[in-house]
Amino acid sequence: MSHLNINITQALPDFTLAINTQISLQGITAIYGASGSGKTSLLRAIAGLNKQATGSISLNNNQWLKGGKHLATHKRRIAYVFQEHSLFSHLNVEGNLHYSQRRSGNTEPKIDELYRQKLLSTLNIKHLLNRQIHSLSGGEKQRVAIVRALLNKPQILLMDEPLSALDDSNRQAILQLLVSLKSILNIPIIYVSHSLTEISQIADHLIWIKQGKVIAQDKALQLIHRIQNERIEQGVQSLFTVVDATFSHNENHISIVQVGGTALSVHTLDDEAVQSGSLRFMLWAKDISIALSKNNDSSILNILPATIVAIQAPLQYTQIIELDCSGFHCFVQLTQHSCERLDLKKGMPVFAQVKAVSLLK
Amino acid sequence: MPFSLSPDDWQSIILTLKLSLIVTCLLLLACTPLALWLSNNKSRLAVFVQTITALPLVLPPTVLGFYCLLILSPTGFIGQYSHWFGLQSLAFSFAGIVFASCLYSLPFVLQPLINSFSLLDTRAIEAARTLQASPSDVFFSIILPQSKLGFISAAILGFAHTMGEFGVILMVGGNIGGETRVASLQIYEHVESLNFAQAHSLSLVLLGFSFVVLFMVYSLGQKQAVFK
Repeated sequence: MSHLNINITQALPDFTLAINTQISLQGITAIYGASGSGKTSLLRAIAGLNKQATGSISLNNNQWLKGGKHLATHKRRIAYVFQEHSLFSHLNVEGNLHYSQRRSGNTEPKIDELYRQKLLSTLNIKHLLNRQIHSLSGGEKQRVAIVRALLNKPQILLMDEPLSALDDSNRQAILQLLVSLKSILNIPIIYVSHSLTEISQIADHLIWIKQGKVIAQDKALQLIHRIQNERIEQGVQSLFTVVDATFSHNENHISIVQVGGTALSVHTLDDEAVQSGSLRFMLWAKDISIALSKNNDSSILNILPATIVAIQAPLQYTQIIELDCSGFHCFVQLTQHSCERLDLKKGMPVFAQVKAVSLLK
Repeated sequence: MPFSLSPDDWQSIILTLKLSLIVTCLLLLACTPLALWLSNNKSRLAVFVQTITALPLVLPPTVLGFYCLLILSPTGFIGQYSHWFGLQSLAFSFAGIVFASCLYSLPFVLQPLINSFSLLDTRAIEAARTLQASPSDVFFSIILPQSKLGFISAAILGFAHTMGEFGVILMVGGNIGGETRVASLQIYEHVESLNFAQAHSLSLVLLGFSFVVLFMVYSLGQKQAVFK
């Protein structure tokens, strides 16, 4: 497996960017941090577009940066999808794609054509080929930009908040496409975002950056849980838990999936989801309630035995309970009144009633 | 008054066109890298260079011509190397008026190029670099097509401005038929010798040409506005 070794510093207006890390190039590595934490500077340094960074960057044995000496961007075999659209306005969609393909250095036309067709249909831009750039919508532009980047056959695809300029429905659609791309291509992606929900949907690994420093780096789900814990302390609502699951079986128009040692009932999964092998679900803290005994007269299907791990009160009248549901931890948001009524304490055995489980990938 | 052009008039017109063409080509070549640098640079040096290159806009042509004459003369800064080009002297020669015209028309080529380069889409240029386009590739595949209109208006303005030159050429080139006597000098000759009919004809040619050129520049400006 390839590794990207990074050890760079750069003085930014408010703080010094000082990143020392190794990124395993496999799947999607997300770089998470608040706006202005240095994520984009880091990504641009990896691309060679940020000439102010000094230190070292190397991919396996190729030195991309040594001291202040930068290997030119066009020699790095990376492709970059920018936050705002970066298509060439003097060419149409086809021209933009051709531009990239011609410079990919590949000489096997047949394989190239197959690859191209696969990308065009996956990202659904076949019908746009003859369009001028200015006539495309924001979502269409980003889809074309992603295909253009991939046609260049990069060793790494760098994405800098590629969805932040899009509306919710477009964002969801492209996130789904990125996940399906991951399974058909074998190109590692480094994905910069300040949106934890976005990252939850696609990331395998996660690097957390704050004020220009790496705070933590781990498998995505573990680190997302940790970041959420910090968000409770800051009083941020809308908490969620992300779990990876494996498909077990279908019964009574319901799919049963396995998360650690716990079985969850979810909406019937389609064949594509079942075959993809990796299923990821999101459980919103607001969609879970707590009962002291197991009700059999409830419409809720997922009633899981759990133990209270922690209780925090970030806001007045609101409490966040962390539960251990044998196999995964999840957050529950309750009113202070409910907590007092049930007399909830750390270590208590309870039942988590999960009202909704949404499929992420 | 019948419209008529003598062989000498024709010779002066051809000389003018030849001069304008050569000067425009030389200036486009020289100004492109300079404009690229100036449009990306905010340093003191850039301001200094921009000031120097704008001087021909405000200096009287006689001042510019006088200094050109000094440096082109056989003992001058550049003139001392004139034997390298197989010339006795650069002053009072076609090469000399090419040099002087380049200085004189420089801002008219440089400025449209700077304007057009400063409007370039930097994201697109960065994107091209990430798609393995080398710097020269980026220039030909992105910068050139995206500033096409800038190049066209720079070329037209440079050409037209060189055609209308008088003072500098008179100072540097003297008034040698077939060598340095361009159309504007020829008209001056006609007027000096009270040959108004021929002065009229030649003037009319220049007037018509200038109108057509300016009309082209302004139509181009409109087109640019539509496609923005």
